[in-house]
Amino acid sequence: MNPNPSSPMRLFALSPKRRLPPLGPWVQGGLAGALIVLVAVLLLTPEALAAQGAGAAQARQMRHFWHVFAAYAIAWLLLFGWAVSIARRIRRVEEKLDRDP
Amino acid sequence: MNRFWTGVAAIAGKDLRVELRTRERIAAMGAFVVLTALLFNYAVDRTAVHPREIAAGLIWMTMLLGGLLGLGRTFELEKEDGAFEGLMTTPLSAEALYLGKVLSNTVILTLITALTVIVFAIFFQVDLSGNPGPLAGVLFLGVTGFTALGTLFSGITAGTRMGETLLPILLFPLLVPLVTFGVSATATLMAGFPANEILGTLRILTAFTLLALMAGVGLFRFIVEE
Amino acid sequence: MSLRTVRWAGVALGALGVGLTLLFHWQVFFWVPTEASMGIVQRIFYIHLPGAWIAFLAFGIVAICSAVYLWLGDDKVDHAARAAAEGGLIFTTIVLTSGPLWGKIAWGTWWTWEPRLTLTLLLWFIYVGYFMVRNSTDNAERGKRFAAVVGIVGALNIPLIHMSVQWFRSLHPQPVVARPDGPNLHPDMLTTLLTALLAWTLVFFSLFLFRYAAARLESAEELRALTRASKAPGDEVPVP
Repeated sequence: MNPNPSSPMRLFALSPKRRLPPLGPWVQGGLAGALIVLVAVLLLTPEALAAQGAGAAQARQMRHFWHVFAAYAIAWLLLFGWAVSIARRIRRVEEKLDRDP
Repeated sequence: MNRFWTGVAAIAGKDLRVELRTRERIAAMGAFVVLTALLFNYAVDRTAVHPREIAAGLIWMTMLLGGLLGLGRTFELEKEDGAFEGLMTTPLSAEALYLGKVLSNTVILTLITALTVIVFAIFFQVDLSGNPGPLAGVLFLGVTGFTALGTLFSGITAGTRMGETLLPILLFPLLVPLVTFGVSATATLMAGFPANEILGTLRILTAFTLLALMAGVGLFRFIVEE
Repeated sequence: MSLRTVRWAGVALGALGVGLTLLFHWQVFFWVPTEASMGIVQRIFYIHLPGAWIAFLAFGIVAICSAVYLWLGDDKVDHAARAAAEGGLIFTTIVLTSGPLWGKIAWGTWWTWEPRLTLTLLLWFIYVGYFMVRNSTDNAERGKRFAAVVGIVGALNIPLIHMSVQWFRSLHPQPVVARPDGPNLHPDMLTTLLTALLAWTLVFFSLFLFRYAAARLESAEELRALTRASKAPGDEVPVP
């Protein structure tokens, strides 16, 4: 996989010369951005949803909304957590390789 | 092939002889099922429901929990003094070892199940006279499926740090078919329905048992190899 | 497959998946019509069903990779099985949290012994057992074999478990998409669902690939440390 035996194997920077920006932070940054957008969307939706169900019992609507919100938030936290744990694993190995190549 | 079955018989014979001399597992499991039945008397509100009415479920749960106690110790003896390594140096195949262990466990657990049923019949006046033959058949099938899967997973847990505590976590999710259909068939028979009422359930129980045995025979090799 | 391919495939699938995920969130919250009888809460459906689909897909991958691992003994296949199992655990957890949140409003109860929900819970426990076996063995090779056996036996049992949980009467809506007479969803709902399904499948495969690559890097690093320890200082260290 790596033609040069003296350079350590890397996933995100395949040779020291052609170093690409490490991807762990990318993944984290991208997902953090997506999460911010989603939280913004979710925070903006009560109005949108309330507008759709105008006239209906508001309290019941809000309860429904919180359940939807919780379900989506938990799903996103879980996926985000998994992505962060993977990024951490990769960064740990890469730091080890940087310390003693 | 003949040598294979000689090996199976040798393993089962060894385990049963050890059990006959020490009576450790049988005594523990026997005491467990009797005491569990005793506790059920206080756990179930007899003004609301008589234990007899839910006897099928109670018998199965007692049998499974008591059986777990013994199955977890299937490889206890082999863990000491490098006995397992000794066993692996014999020309015995892993499949024969597995089947031998299943056989001895099934014999022990059949006795325990018989004890459970008798205890329930005495304590809670469960009527067994309706269909004794088919009832025994269903329970035996259940015991075989349980030990087939339990022996395989017992081999796994014996090799982990967590040991027996891991066994129910691995085993219970997979026992759902056994409990569902076993209890249903037992309850039907105890209610006095004829045996042909449970043919469908029996087919699934048989499928479960055969599947468990096949999985055990096919996969046990990977558990014991070093 | 080289790590370079894995990396680019992961990045491509991930970018596409995240993009489609944003799209389906827009669809869910601003576009799709509200279901008449259940109301807003029905929108949980668009993560609940894709979550369940991926949970079972992941379990299939675990079972196949486990069987191949036992057959060939290739560590790479085991890395794939572990990566899929991790994803499966995440997605079963999503199903198990979104299901009750929906059920509390639609059925008035957090939990019912509904076949598919029960099956997912049992699947969750099988995944948990898979990782407990893996992490509690002193010998790593052994842990891999044990976990593979758990994965295979679990998969063999799934059809029977499915039959047994079906034994109880179902409250769960009957299948609305995979029906012999065609889907009976509103076309916009179907579009949203299919977008969500595709988006999360891509996200799953992207994270799966990264997790797989991480496992390969870790094992390569371990091997390197081992070879270095066993060699005299100053020797050239081979890179696997």
